[in-house]
Amino acid sequence: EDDVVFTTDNNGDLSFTNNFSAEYLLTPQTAANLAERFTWDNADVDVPTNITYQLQKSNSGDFTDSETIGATTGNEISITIGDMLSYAAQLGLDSDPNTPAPSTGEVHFRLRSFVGDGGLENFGASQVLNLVMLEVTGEEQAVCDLDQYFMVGAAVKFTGWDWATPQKAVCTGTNIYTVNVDLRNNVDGDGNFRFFTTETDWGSGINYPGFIDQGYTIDPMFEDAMDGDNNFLFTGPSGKYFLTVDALNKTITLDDPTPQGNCDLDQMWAVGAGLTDAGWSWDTPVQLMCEGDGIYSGWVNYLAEGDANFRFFTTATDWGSGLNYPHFEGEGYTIDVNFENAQDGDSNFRFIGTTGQYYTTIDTLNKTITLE
Amino acid sequence: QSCEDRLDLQPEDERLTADSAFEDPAAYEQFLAKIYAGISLSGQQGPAGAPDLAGLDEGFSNYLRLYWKMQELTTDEAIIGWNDGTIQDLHGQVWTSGNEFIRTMYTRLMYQVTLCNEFLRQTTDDKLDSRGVEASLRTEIQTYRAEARFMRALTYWHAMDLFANPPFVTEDDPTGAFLPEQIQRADLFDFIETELLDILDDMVAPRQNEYGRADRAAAQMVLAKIYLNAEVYTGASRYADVITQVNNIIGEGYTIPQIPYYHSFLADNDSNGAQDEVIFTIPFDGLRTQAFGGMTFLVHAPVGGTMDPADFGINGGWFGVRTTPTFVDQFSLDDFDPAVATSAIGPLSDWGLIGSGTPNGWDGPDIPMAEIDTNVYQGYITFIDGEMKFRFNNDWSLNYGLDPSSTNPNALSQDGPNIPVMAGTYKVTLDVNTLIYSIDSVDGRELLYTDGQNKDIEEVGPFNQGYAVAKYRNVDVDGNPGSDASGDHTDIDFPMFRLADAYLMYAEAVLRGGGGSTSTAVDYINEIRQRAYGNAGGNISESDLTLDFIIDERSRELFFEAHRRTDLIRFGEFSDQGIWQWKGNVPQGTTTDSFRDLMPIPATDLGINTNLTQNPGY
Amino acid sequence: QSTVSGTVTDEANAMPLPGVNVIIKGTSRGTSTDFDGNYTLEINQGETIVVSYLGYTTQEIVYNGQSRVDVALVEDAAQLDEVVLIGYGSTTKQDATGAVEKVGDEEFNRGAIVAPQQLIAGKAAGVRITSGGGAAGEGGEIRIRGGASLSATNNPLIVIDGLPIDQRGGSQGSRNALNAINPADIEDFIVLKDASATAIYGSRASNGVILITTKKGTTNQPLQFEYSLQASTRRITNKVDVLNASQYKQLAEDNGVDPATFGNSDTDWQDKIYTTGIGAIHNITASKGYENFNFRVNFNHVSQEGPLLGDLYERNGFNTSFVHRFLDNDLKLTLVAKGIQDEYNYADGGAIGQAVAFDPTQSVFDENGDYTQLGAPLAPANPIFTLENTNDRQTIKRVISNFNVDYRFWFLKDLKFNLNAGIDYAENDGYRFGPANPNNPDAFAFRGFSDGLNRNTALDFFFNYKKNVESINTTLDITAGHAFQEFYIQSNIDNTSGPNITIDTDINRNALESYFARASFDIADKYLISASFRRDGSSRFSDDNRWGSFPGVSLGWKVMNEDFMQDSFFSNLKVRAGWGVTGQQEIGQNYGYLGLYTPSRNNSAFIQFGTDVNGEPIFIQTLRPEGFDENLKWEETTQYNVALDFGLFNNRLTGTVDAYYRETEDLLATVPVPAGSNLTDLITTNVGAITSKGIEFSLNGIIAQKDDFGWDTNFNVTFQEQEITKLSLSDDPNFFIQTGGISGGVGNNIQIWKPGYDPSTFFVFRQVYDNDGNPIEGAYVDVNGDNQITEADRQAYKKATPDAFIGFTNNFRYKSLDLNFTFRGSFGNYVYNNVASDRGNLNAIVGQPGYNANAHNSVLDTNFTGQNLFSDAYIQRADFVRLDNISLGYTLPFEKVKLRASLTATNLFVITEYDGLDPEIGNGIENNFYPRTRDVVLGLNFTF
Ligand SMILES: [Ca+2]
Ligand SMILES: [Ca+2]
Repeated sequence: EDDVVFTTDNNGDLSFTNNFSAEYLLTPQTAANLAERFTWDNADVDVPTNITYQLQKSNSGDFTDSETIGATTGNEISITIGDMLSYAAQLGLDSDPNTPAPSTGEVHFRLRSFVGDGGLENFGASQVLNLVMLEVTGEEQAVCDLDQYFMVGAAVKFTGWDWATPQKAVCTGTNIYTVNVDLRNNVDGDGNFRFFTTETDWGSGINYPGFIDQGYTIDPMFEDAMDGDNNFLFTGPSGKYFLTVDALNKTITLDDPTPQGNCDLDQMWAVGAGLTDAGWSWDTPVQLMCEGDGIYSGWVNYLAEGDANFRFFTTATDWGSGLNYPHFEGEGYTIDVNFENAQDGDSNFRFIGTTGQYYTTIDTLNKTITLE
Repeated sequence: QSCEDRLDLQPEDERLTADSAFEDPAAYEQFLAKIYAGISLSGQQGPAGAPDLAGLDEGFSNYLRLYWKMQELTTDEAIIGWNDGTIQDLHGQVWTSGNEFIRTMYTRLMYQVTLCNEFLRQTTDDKLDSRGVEASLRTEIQTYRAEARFMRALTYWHAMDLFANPPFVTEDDPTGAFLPEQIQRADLFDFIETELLDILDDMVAPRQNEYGRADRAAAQMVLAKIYLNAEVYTGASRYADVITQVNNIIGEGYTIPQIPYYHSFLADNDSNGAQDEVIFTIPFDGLRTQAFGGMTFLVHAPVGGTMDPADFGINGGWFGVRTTPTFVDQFSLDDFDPAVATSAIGPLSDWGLIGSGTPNGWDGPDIPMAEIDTNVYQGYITFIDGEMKFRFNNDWSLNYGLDPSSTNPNALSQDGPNIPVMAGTYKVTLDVNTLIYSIDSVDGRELLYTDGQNKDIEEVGPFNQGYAVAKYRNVDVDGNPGSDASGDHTDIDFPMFRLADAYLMYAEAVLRGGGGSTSTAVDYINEIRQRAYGNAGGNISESDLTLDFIIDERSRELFFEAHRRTDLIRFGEFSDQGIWQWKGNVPQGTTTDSFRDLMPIPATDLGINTNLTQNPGY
Repeated sequence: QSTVSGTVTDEANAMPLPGVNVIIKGTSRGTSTDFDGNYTLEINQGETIVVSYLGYTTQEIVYNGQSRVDVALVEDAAQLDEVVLIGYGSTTKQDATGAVEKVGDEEFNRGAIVAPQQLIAGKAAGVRITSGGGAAGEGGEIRIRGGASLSATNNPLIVIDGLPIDQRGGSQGSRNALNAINPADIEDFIVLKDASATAIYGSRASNGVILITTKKGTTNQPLQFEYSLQASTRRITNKVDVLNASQYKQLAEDNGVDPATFGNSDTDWQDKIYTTGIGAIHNITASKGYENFNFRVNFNHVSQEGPLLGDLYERNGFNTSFVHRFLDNDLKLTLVAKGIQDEYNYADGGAIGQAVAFDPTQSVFDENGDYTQLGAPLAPANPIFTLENTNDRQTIKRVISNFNVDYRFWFLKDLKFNLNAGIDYAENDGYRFGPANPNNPDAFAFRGFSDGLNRNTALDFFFNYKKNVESINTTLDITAGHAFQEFYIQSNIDNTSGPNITIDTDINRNALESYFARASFDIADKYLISASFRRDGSSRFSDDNRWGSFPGVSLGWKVMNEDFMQDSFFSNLKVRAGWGVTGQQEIGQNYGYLGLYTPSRNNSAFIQFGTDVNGEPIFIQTLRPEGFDENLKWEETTQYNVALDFGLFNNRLTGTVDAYYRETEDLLATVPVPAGSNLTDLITTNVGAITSKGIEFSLNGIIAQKDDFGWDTNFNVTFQEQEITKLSLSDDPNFFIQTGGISGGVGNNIQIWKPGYDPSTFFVFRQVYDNDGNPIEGAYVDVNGDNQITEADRQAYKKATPDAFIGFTNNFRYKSLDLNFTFRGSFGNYVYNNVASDRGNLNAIVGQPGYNANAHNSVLDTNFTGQNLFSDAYIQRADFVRLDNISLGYTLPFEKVKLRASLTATNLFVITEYDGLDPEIGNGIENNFYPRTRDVVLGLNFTF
């Protein structure tokens, strides 16, 4: 045996031994679930030697775009629904019935084997898998004790201590209330606010100790204002936050602003002289969050003096991402009468209404820009 | 003198018989020093020569180096490219009972135990009586004995953690031809716990012992460690005991020094303030405590590629250790908004950043910086590869670029050349008082070196595969190299236990139901993170405090400090869960069998000692 | 001139003797007898006819004009009974019962030989001598029957004129401690191979014993002067196969190396570091013998260079012997004294590896005239820089002296007393200067001083009673004695490298005390019985294990002397058998049974305990308890030997067949301790067993023995095998220990000790190949079927020691010309090509830390990216036949002076399929081997 030379060669096919489904139905809710367990028998290479197996994927089917998605010295590799969702995204599939993008597609898999560090390569036959994105027919019905919490107070930008434009944290999950809210730190000498359960009913307020007494854990950016009413005091940096009142787990938390529907972007931006809070600078741009499917909206302070011009942007700090007045015209938008083409060389928007705050909505599905 | 008498020979050089050795009262302290040296040195001649262990190259047989390899190379934190025997099997998690690194670790642990046992045998009352040791020294020796028992408990903890059921010997066993019995993990747990509790009173009070020697807090730390992992070791959790022990330590005046994180791993970390945090250290010295294991390895092995050895105070890298993308991604800043973070650290100023490397290019307005101190400005920014300058009020009349006339590469001058920047999110600081700038990681613990390095590891061997880690550097806070002018050996002291670890253990024990206070836990962690970020920008809230966060935060805070394997096992993510590149010996990584949570009893010892039973799976 | 003729007969039976030499004394004229014993010769009045024939006493007849000179030759008992030393006495070849082989002056290898062991390479069955390479003053490893131990020494005991030399060599700082003996001064070597012969040397005899006798003057000999000169050149014959510059450039560029980093040269670095070494050996000898006194004085000067640049060995030696007889020859005093000064200028062998690795596109000097260096701290230094800047010298002064008293008691002439007092004393003194790493600007140079002394003192005496008791037709020969020997070794070092200072003195003393006895009986000149016994006490073991007993018994049957053999085909026939037990105490450590404490050996192994008032660290010296084995004891070897000695054609063809079986128990092996049981990880202790067996044939033939033509030949072949049978106390058959360290990574081993295998067995992965026969990188046979290649898949495979080895010598004489040559061969041995496994891959070029280096050219065949250190592709068959030595001589017979001129070439060619540097590698691992040289030697020898 000492003088034997061990010569290896590929014998037989390298094929999957598992059964494949006709279609793989993909939903984000099941992303963690196992989608498929690829299995195979040991390759026969004449000599007992070390063989590595790689699972390769191709969108085109000819494997010129082959991507190795797993490797093992064993006989199986599993992929999850989440993995498949990312393949679907590569294929450009989506789950929205309102878009032209398809919701079904094909991915090709094959097995590669080699011995040692890469010798005696062998490929198995390609296997096609059909991916189906389950279309979204509607949000899961949120069930809450209240319809919403109202937020009123000096810390709530665009609201103040006034019921004219109260901020509403609406029910978006089981006893979960959320809202993207602009919070101000110590503006006008005060940064306080309170939650209310009933609109215009000052008696329905719940102050800081009111939540603490219920056992709530409250975000450290909030404190007890100690202002006689024990309102909430916002101590964090001014800006837009995603506020969550989780009545189930008894927490009030602040996070980065979060889109509330299906939009191409998380938000749109606007800067320019016509915007009181921004000016032509990226220091404090105006942010219009995605607040519903295809809808970007938020409160904006417009200034009708001077140039009063401004522009929308898709990417913060990227001057190249601007969308000017003719852009929206060209897309067939109906644009609010308080705006016109500034004719300023860049064809920015110009605000020609009355200086003040307006709830601004860009509806990309219905192609409207409206102020209210 | 008859011929036969002339066959009774004893050493005539520096070697001594036990009785002649202990005629010198200093011998007791020197023997104790050997026990401490058992972890840092590899033999009786520095840096090599007269090795303690002969079964593997001396440099490789060093305790700290082996323990580090067991704890780090087996995990997502480290991979090594060398061809030394079976070393690559550690990261590949395909080691067998024949692996010589595992074998030598095992041998080193048991050797350390026998050293401690011999010390205890040589310092019994009977022995001291017979040698007429004077009273003051006898008192001292009682402390020595407690420390020897501490060192033995520490080593048995490592053995329990790695091998579960090692051979068990105490001072009651002889030296020579006998086969030690094997102890079961839970029994060893009891022994370690009992020993440590028993010596607490004899140990010197925390922070009162000589630097380099263990004190009571060190013993409490080992207790806390075994309690934190008790579920792994014995099946029964002891989280409340973790809180108790950690509280004992925290109350003793250790602090997280508010100096940059990286200072804790520099040549002067025994005096630059970092020492305020350290509960138990292994001192090294570039001239007097030399070994090719220990810190010499930990500084040299991760240096290679385009890294400048001078930055590390050494003469050259060993082109060995890198890290995996999994660890790199612990510092991912997906949720981090530079503008928001900048406005959080101070009032926005008129100073800003401009240039092709900044988001607005050379034309757009400045990216503003916040004023964090008088004439000191700081801002977070996501660069692209390019250049930048500092500018005041969007106007070129006041701007700073590099100062070519200065030897300090970070010096600035009015209208100086552009400053090159690399893509990524950074913290930029401008000190107008001194005209010095710096570009740092957002999280100061992200001590990665990426220039010329490939983030992914396509091959294990080449150094440029995987980002390099620049944690241990043999320079002082001013950048001066350590005491060994040849650049071989380093002055860095290895912080085996430090307060940040204790804080994280506290927080974990709270989350695992050991009692304590969540808000205290959050405060502790924010104390750590404020050092990491240099400000409160990285603080977390209670809702962030989850076990997932803890395991990641432990990696960010304690990487390369020989904790990772134990941590991953406690979190169940070492073997049959958790994937990182080259785990399972395949490029993309794969899970392995759960029996790998224990190391195998080395085949050689199984072959010799018939009392031993192999751990399951091997 | 007259013509004389005659017949030569055997005096015993009046049968004519053919082939007898009939020569005229002092001339080259002569003839030999024909088949009928007749001769005819031209002769002058007054000349002397010399009639000689092997095995018969030579007769001289002065020619006075006789027409016929018939001669009856008498069988020469003295020649058949050639005296052979056997330790504390002697016997005759005829009466020897053990495996004893004598190699005398005439059989020695020729050439400019510096190391005495090279004289007998290939000359004796069962004896393998492997030189360590071509370095100046290099010696050679001697293995008799393969050695008997694992971790203790496998070197035989060497006894020079009665003084046993330290098995560790006897001096420090030398490439070959045996160089203290001038090869030109050696009369003969006696090799004692089996235990019945060696048991009289007890605890040091397991690996065989070699008795070296130096030349003495002879009685009644006129004053004779002799001067000889051997002038030699030495060149290497082979180099490591590395890439040349264009191969290197192509491979490097294909793998991403920027061509801008290439130099413009095509440098063969190996050509640069090797040169032609010049050597000269001078011997001046004077000897004279009187009735009661004779002396011999020799002065010897050796100078040997290279081939590595700067390598130099020089020796000056005085070798003297004085013999004085008193009291009617009853008292004989012999004093032998040698004084030697060896000087080595060691060339740094590191340059060999540097030359293999250095970028071949670079030139030796850069454009500024400085040595080209690669600039990365771990890069190889320029090998020429290394050779030029390293200064490593060692001077060894040594005296070996023995004083012998041999006294025959006046009242009982059969009883003798013999006393030997000997000393072997050596002092060495040297220093080494090593330059700072030229690739690290901050590195320190190394300066080290070393000196030491070795002292070996011996005193032994014995009584010998020898008598032929006619009443029982038996000769008794009984010896009993006592010996004491002490070894003292001191070594001092004083090394400085930057701030690191190591000053240390090591002292090691050990002693042996022995009682010994032997009784031999020769019954009726047919039956031989010999028994010996030795009891040794060694300081290396505790009181409980200190003493060991070593018996030996052998039997011989001189079949030839039986009546039924009278008309036999054989001219000699003897059967021998022996058994004996020998020991081993050369375990390298002196106090292995004692628990000791060792302090830190230098100031760099201290530990910080606290700080002083200024905040400076306080460093504490450490004190380490050492591991020990209080039960340490003798290794014991039992050996059985059976043999047949025969002679044919009037002993013109003689031969010996020896077969042996040997078992070593309580084998001293360095093995792991059970973890936790001792203050060390490895300990040398008595755990194992090893067996070996073999057959040795040797054949001597006198093919022609004419007046002007002679041809004799010697052929010997040895078959041997060795196997570890036990390696641990637990008897676990799967227990093994890795051994055979290699380069390429740290801590890698390529050999294995395992029960059932030869101790030089390799331990490898079995390489898997593709259809084209190329190895697939990283693919090996997966033995345990887990689809991972781990060390569990490594297999025992082949071995470094040969199954068989041969020596083949021929001596031709034609008139005044003589020609002799010696082949050596070895079969069944394998070599691991570590240079190829380490450097035969792309990473050797591109994967280096901060520089590029050259690769072994096997990368062109394997295309390996990285090191595949354990692939069996690197274990290569290394059978070889080497023409070791060929010498042509011419003797010019002047009237007053005899001049012999000779031309010798050594290592002329090697036939082998091994494609590394040299198939003859002691441990079977070729790695930066110092190449053997081919020497061409001109020798001149004047005798006055
Ligand atoms: Ca230090
Ligand atoms: Ca295997």
